[in-house]
Amino acid sequence: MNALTLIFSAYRRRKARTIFTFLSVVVAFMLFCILAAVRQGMMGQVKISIAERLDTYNKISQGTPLPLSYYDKLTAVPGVTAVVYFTGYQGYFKDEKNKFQVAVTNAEQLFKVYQEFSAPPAQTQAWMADRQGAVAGPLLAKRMGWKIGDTIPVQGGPAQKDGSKTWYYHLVGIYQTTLPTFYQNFFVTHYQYYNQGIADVKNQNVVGQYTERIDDPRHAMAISNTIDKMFENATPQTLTQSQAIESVSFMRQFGDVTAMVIYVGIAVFFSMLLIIGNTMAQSVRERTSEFAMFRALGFTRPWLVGLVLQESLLLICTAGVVGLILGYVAARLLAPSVGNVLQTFSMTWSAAWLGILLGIIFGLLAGLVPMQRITRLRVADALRRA
Amino acid sequence: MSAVIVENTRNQPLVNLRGVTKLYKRGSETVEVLKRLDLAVPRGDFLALMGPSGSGKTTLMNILGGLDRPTAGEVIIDGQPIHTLSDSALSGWRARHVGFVFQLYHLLPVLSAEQNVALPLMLTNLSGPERKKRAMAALTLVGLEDRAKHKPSELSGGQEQRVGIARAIVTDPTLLLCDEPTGDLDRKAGDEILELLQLLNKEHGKTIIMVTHDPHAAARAERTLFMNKGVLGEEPEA
Repeated sequence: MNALTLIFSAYRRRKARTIFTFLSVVVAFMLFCILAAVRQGMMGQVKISIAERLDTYNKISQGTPLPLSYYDKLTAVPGVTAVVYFTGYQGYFKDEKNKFQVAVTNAEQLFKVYQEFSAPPAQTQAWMADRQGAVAGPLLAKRMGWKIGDTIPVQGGPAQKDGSKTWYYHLVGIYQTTLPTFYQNFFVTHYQYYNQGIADVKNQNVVGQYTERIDDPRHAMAISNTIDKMFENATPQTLTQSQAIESVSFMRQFGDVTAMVIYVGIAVFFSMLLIIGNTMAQSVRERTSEFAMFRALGFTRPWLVGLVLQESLLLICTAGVVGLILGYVAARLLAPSVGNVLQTFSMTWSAAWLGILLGIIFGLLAGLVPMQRITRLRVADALRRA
Repeated sequence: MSAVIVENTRNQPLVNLRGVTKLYKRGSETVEVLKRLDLAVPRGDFLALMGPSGSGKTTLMNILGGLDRPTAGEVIIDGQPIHTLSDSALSGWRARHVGFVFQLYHLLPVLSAEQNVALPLMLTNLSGPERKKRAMAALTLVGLEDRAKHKPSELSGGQEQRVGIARAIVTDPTLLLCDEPTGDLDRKAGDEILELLQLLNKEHGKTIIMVTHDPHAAARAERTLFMNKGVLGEEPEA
């Protein structure tokens, strides 16, 4: 017999009410997780897109290719420390349902420009030594059941010179990254292999974009201008900007979504507070004579107030943790379907801690009304009313 | 010398009320529920308090149990002036010295008989097994050891009240305050409860003050006092 026995006995008294209240808190926390993941999707994009990286596109549009010949000129720009270029296609493994993005790049520069990605030295060496080699993201490799050493036939790519649309790669490594789910699903291959194999002449010796790493983010604007000026009289012209600015412009297309997410989150928790507050008030009102009995037995007011607060906190925090876990799972399940727009859509630890903190605050707030009832309880009257 | 002091303490009444007055405000009107009341209850007494509704019996019980405070006067129980204690000190005093038996039992419906009896022991430093042992001893005393795991809804009214009595005595209090303990029971069950109270009084030396409307119940007590309009007397008001 201890306080926990009394708390659980209070929950058992109206099982249906306890279950519905529990579920409403679970749903509130799940919504909180999804909203937090959306916010992370918005804000995380800005964080990942560091100011030390510049993207150079065709000035006409982002989808229009740039000549490979720009590479040498870009590497020679003062302040540029490394340049990587990308093109790619969407392929699939065995079944069209197993689609993934094949990134085609100059592998030797990739980890210099994107330092958030890495692979063990032996795997990196093996990759550099094999032009047919590829490294896969950890999630993609797991999903497809690939092991290092496998030969991966990727179907659905552009036609090769022999007419085949199946490209064969040797999986030589699994890269690691600190970035969210979206970034753990790439299949990264050598440009040289692709460029020599592709049949369409128009697609040879061209890339989709260049990304430059620069020595100092304060020089981003000047270097961008230098690059674009360098190709001012060339065809095609270029448009260069830092990834940070690019992300902020992207975000602005959605308006002030972050603020909206916060307001909706507050509304969700406020509704939850009303539900829990009402449940606790009802529960304590129904047990007025019991609390009077406790007082008659010698239990103090602070002890009973503590009991009610623990009751409220335990319900909210338990349901909150369940809601956070389910919300985390839901965010992971939703990530692939929203990943194209919100690449960093994910539930973060900071959001989980914030959720727990909010749970504690709202648990205490929900206990305030019943707490008042206990502190004002007239024992003699309450015993008579039973 | 010390033996003399012990003897003197023994001779003192357990309950001593001096000039206790209780006033209630009802709107603009002030009602005097207890009128300069004096009462002495010796240790080991079994006192029945009778009187019509609204005569002040329950108010007196609440004041004796530290659930209410007198407007004026002194309430001294076992040498302790309880009217001077703070709310929290009074709670502690109740836990150690008083056992309450209620008309409506006030058992927690989701707890077993044993758990209900063990409730007051939560305020002690006893270990879990020791609490269980004491709760079972109290249930055995009231003849319900075989009903320890039953919930109140699985017990008869008489058995529920026995659990209520076991809960009242589990901390071994000096004073038992019973508010209409048989008021919700049929005659047979009521008699069993009264026999149990007599046993606690005679065999275990408990001092019992019992409020009742029932002359049959009052007859089980050693003496009866009558309350009328806030005044105590030896005879019922004509």
